[in-house]
Amino acid sequence: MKDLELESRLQDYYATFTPADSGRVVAGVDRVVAKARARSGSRFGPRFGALAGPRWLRNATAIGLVAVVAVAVAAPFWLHSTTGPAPTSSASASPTSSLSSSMPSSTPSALVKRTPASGPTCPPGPVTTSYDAAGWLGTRFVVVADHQGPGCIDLHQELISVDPAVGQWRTDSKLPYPGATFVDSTDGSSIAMNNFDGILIIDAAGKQHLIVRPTGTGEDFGFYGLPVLPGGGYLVTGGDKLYRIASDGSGMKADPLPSGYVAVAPTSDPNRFILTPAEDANVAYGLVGTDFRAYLWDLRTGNLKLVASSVSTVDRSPDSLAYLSVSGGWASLAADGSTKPVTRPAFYGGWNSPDGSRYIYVPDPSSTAVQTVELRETSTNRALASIQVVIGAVVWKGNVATLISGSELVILDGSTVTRVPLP
Amino acid sequence: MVDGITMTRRGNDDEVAGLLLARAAEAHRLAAWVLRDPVGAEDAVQEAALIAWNRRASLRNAESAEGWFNRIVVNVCRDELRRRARKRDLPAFEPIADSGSDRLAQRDELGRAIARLMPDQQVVLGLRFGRDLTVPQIAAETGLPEGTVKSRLHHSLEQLRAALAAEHRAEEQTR
Repeated sequence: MKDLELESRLQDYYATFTPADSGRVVAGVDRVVAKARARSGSRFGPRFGALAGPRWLRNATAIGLVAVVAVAVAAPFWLHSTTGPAPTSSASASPTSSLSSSMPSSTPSALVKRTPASGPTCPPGPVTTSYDAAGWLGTRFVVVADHQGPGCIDLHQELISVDPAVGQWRTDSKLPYPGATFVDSTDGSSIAMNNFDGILIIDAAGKQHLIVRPTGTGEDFGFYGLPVLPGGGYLVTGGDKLYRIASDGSGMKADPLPSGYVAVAPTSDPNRFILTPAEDANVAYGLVGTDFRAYLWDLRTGNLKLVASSVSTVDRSPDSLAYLSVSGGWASLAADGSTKPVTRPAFYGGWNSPDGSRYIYVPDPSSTAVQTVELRETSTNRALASIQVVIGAVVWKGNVATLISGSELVILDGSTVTRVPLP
Repeated sequence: MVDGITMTRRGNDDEVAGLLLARAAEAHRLAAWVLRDPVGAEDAVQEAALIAWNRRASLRNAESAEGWFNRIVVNVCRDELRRRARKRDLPAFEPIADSGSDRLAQRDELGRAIARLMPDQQVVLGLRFGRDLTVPQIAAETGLPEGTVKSRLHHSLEQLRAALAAEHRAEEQTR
């Protein structure tokens, strides 16, 4: 669908939600203000001002007060029975310990058990299924099958998988409802998804682990992205601590960051990360949509160095710590913190491999029609394979690119192209 | 700038009350576009009015009054979208009397795709395509940098295209 067609549909769509001038709205505002003014002389007016709001707000406030009391009473028992000892500060964890070796035993686990809720009751009618590429679990490729009923967003979502060498699909598990519909990331042995309730890790055996999203500067944690860490696992970007999730979903490690900074991206060195001052990222999606100052931080030494004053994207690099998208192009970040200009193809979100050595070239990224796309080698810009597909999300495992086109799963491994029909 | 309203001193109660009443209808439209739910928008406007009243001391001059209240309305709507996202509580799509079934189906399809976007993305879409604001105007209304607005619009449209394409593929598979 072309831009103009979609925008025209959006304008038509929103026009249907234009309400006529409503005397009821004006009267409602008048009532709210009048009540608030009447209480303005009251000793407790401002504190309980919300109780004069709309009925649902009053109810919610009252329920909230009850809930706060209930949680305060129950929390100690709940914490003990469900998560073991309360999470402790990660400051005690050795800053030099590696993520994979130290995480399960020394880190505050933020796992919760959950029972998948059932989906909504939908009106009877045909159920349609759409497929989203999720990632690799060993030799099996996992796809999210999204079953939708008429008038329902998600009837339910389930994970199905296939071993491309065999070609038989199987159903692995249902996803909790509401479904995990946001950023997906895969390190090749597990899959990370953003669920409304937290970050869902699908481990190599297909087991689901829900990591409670860290609280702090916002509920948008992880919505900035869950980039893969060197050696596996995921970084929760935007956090005011260095939150790292183990690849097997066994826990999330939280290391302190320099005060006032948030995590932006990993580098090819497992102990060095790109940070930015919190004020550069203090709006939701700030890191995605706004240029920020990039600092290189060493977890072992605590050294913090400004490496670029205006960066829009950090990308993995095959031959340096990282690539930084700066004004006028790309810069390669060297181990000593210096930068130098580097020529890169114009990558398009997620279409470059994790180490940057390969990318998918797409002539028209906005097109939903079949087009010829190529797997290319970054250093030479040489096409390794060429296929006719409808471009969608590309999932990488090393330099192997996988995507869904129409009714097929397409795997590009060097010059080898494998097509597996979807169920 | 709000016609007929002059802030002679900070926090003038009569003037703030007048502002809120004068802006109620437009605030309702704004909230309806962002929430895609005219009924829910009424509650949002009342909540925004209450917040605005309680924070009236922060209003410094008449020139900024309209944007100040609009921003409060947008923030209330964004919070409501987040609440709905957690509950998967979708707005009721009201049928359009003069629409054919194809158009209604297309509208529902688009509504489902929009509901899957992040709340912040839904906000910028509502301001862009409902209120017909430009990127700089959306930036002013939300307090976001223009680059962030552009990025959200870009990603929103990209995700909508992908979602609609996926629905079409699924429909074709079932035929």
